[in-house]
Amino acid sequence: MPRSTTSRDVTLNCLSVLTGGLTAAALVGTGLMTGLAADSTAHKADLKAQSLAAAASARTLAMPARAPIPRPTRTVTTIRVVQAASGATGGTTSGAGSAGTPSRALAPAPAPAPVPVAAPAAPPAPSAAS
Amino acid sequence: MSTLKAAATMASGTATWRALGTYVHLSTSPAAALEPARRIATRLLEDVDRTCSRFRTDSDLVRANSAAGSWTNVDPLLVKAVGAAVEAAAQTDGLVDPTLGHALVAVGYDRDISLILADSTDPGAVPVPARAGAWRDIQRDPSGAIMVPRGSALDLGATGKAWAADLVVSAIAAESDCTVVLSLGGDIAVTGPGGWPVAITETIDDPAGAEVVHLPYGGLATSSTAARRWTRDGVIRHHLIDPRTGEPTSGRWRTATATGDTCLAANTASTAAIVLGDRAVGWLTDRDIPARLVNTCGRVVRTQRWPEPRANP
Repeated sequence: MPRSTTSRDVTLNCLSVLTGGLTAAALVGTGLMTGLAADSTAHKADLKAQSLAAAASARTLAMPARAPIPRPTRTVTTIRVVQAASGATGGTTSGAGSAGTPSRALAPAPAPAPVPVAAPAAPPAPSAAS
Repeated sequence: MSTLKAAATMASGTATWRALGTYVHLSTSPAAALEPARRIATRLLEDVDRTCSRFRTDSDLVRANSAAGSWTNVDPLLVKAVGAAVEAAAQTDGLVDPTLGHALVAVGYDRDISLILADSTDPGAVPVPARAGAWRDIQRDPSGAIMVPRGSALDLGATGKAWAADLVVSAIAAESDCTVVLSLGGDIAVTGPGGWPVAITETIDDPAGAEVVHLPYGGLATSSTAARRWTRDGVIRHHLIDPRTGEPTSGRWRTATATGDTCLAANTASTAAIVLGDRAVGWLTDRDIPARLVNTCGRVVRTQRWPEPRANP
């Protein structure tokens, strides 16, 4: 049976009202959810801030400020030449150190030339590996 | 009268004993200076042993080696001994290397030489060459601290006796005007007017055929692969290590004697000559060092300022 024009208009108007209602409901729902999420985020942020503050407070209590560690006062020598005999005679020590001590080259004395001896007057000192 | 004759004709005194794992021969002229000199020598050598020995568990050197990589407070005497060793390494570009502690242990030299079995069947260890230039990383504080490079161990055997000989004769000379000569296992230091005669042989057990020369001043040292030898797992070992290989040297020369303005300088030259092998004569000549070398066949070679022996009258 063919529908009348009036009936079709009523149906279309109902659909429009229904669609509008659903849209409005969706908008309201979305707004509510967004609001709740924002509240939750703010709440979590508050909790985090409180937690960090509490932790910082606890760390401050557990680790009191330490006295500064004294720096080493030793002069670290990287290259130093010590003449063997200087230990007993208080001789010269030269070298370049971290303190910026200028180095000074020591000119060694020439190696002595031994003299042949046929009949030593004193008992000779032995130079032999042992 | 020349100073040489003055020292020679004056009555001299001699004392011998053992220290630092080797023989000590101390002579003075006049003889009256001997006992005070001996007291000084005994005290100083005990101090050197206490601080510098690789075989005493209570020595400063052992403590520093066990703490390699960090600073260790030590007797300033050890700092000076290490300084002398570093100086020797610098003058020889590392041929005389103080960081051979691990290499020596690897070849079996891990205790006093008198305690090493002459013929051990222990398996040979893998050679441990020194890290090139590790000696440059040795840190020293003259007030009493050293730092051994991480992974290294110091051994002062190559320079310690010679340095100690210089130390002792200098200390004696500071107390007396006598002429004094000290031989520490063949490393000789002499000071005072006139110098002293020296008898050179390869080993102390073989005095026959000694070549006698007069040392006017300074030092004279003999290094030899003929001494401090042992067998390990059928292989002959000795104490002179080539730092480039970590193995005992096996070059042309078995014994080298050299002079120097100090005993340390002489010993540095004689040890370097053994390590250098074929290049030794050129190296010594370039540095104008009188030296007497004995090759593995027993033939003697002298550099230009070492005199030919004078025949006995």
